[in-house]
Amino acid sequence: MGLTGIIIKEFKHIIRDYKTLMILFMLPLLQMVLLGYAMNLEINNIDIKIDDYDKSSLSRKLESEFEGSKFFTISTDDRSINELFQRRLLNALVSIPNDFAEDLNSNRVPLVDVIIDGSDSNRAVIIQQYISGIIMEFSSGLRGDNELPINIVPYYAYNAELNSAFFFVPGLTALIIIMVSALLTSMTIAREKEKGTFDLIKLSSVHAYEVILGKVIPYLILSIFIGIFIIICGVVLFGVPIRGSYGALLFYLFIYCLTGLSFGILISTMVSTQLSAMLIAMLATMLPTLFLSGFIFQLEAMPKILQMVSWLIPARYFLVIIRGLMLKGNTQGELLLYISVLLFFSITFLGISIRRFKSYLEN
Amino acid sequence: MTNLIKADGIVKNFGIIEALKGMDLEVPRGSITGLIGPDGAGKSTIMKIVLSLLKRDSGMISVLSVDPDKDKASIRQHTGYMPETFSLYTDLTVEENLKFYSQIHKVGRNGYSEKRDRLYRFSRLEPFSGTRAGNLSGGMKQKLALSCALIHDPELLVLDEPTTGVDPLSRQEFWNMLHELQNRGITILISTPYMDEALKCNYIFMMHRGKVVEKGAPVSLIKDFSENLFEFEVPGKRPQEYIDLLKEIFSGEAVFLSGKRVHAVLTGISDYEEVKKRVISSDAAFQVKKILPELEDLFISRILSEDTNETFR
Repeated sequence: MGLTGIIIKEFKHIIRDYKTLMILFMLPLLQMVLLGYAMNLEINNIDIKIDDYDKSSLSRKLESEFEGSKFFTISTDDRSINELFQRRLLNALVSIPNDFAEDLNSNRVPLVDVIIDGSDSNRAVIIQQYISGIIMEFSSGLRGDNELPINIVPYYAYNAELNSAFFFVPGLTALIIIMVSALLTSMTIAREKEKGTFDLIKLSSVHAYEVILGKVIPYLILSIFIGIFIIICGVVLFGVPIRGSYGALLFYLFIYCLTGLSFGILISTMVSTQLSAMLIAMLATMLPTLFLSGFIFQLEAMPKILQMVSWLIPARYFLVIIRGLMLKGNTQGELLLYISVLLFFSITFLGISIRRFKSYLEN
Repeated sequence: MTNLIKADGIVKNFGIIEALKGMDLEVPRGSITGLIGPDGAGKSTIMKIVLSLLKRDSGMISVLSVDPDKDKASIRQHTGYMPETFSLYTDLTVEENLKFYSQIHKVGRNGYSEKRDRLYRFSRLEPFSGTRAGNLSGGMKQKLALSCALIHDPELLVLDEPTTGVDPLSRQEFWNMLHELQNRGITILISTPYMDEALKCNYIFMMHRGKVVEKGAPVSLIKDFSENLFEFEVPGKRPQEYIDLLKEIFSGEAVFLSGKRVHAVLTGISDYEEVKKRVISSDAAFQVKKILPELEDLFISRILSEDTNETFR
């Protein structure tokens, strides 16, 4: 009875605070649209200059390969290379040596110099890959299949076109869910503490588990709805696939939401104002999920200590699971390790939160 | 009459702040007992200790025959509480608030309808049942908070400054409701900053800096006030303009503002002529009257003498 009362009351708070509810749904949509159109991993219009010192038919053929590519725009600007780089009018310079054709004809490997503007390292790496791709394609066509030992044809598995949405929809789901669930639960309890209503709940005959479930269930449902909303937006707006089981996806979303909510309850036992609840929830969920979950930055490239810290971030495991289910069509067996860790996190977190909350409520 | 609450030497510190310095309290069953005192006197702290919301550092306390620290469930089942600030859900309607509190107090569906109807008759809130609590007037908010505190038929009602900021008419109505509850046998522990409300209590505990400085039935306290109280006025002047002069003339005595005049409790001088002689020697044209004390005079004189003792200690 007490549980039903708290659940109904929380739902009324959620529905009547429609402005917050709108923000909760509009925020991920806005982020998704912004990221979807602004964060594009594909680079077009790479300004490139080709210095052909050989001026042979072979060197001109290589030049025409670049001209034919949709990624490159050949620059004919006569200013010095340094100036062109300085003024950001050039992204790369390809220098074909004067013995290029001769080397190729005598089965020697010619050295083609490539200078790339490295001020944006991520962009530089992608440009380098595109240039290598063109050169590889050129040499492959020139020598025939049997004679070339290495023929690199880049192919991005599960995301052949390097579609950004494939990358950020799972990441955004992981980020928004943990933020929203931790923030909402911690703030709803902190609000009651601040207004003094929590003292009245403490003075009632309600059990600690009823308060916890009464607070968790409405926000669990809300968080799952937000999660589904983000995924549907990803599918509808950007064509992100769901190759794995829908049921499994929903179940892991549920587990992940539960982890966030438990974390929110834990925060609520430590703070007494909404402001501190908000700051702690944001700090403890947003930053680690953005930087230490593998959402944006490669964990393998981080110092060992940060890699170790990342083991404590639930989003790290959820990201593997959600990417696996959406993009790779992974089975439960293939994700077993990550699922187990996430489950462990959820149960441990919930256990600690309930224990702390119970003792807070009863004292 | 048995005591529903009995506390001896309650001490409670918050870090370096001594909120209660050995407070004694007796609340007779069926009484309205008032805690009177300025902000920071420790009224809310002792109330929260009674309600088991705070643990005492030392001292003994029995509420409804149990120790609140040891049997929280029993205390919480039989007490109703109205905190100092309005602590209901402003986005819920009157009816929804009542229903929620009945649910968390496990009143039961059938019991709820009956209690709600009774509380509506008692508080006359029924026409506002669909109004959100946040849209109610101050007086109505207090009536709703009181109704919610009563939803589970408590034996003891703890009300922390329930009428602060409420208009005089609503305050009067609220007190009529409290007397009605008292007639039904409910014991009420109430704190108030208003002396007129203190007079409506059966017993009062005057508190200052975590201690009880005076206690008893308000009428008896006034009757037993044996010190000489004088009222001073200078026509055409504000009391703030001459109070310092009076403090100088009656150094060591309790001299304080009371409305548009200055009152002085003079322990050393009882003779009216002597008082008059002393003030006439000053330049100001004082008008002096020996008056009968009111509760406020008693309270302020006790606080001032307590502060003086503290200074000399």
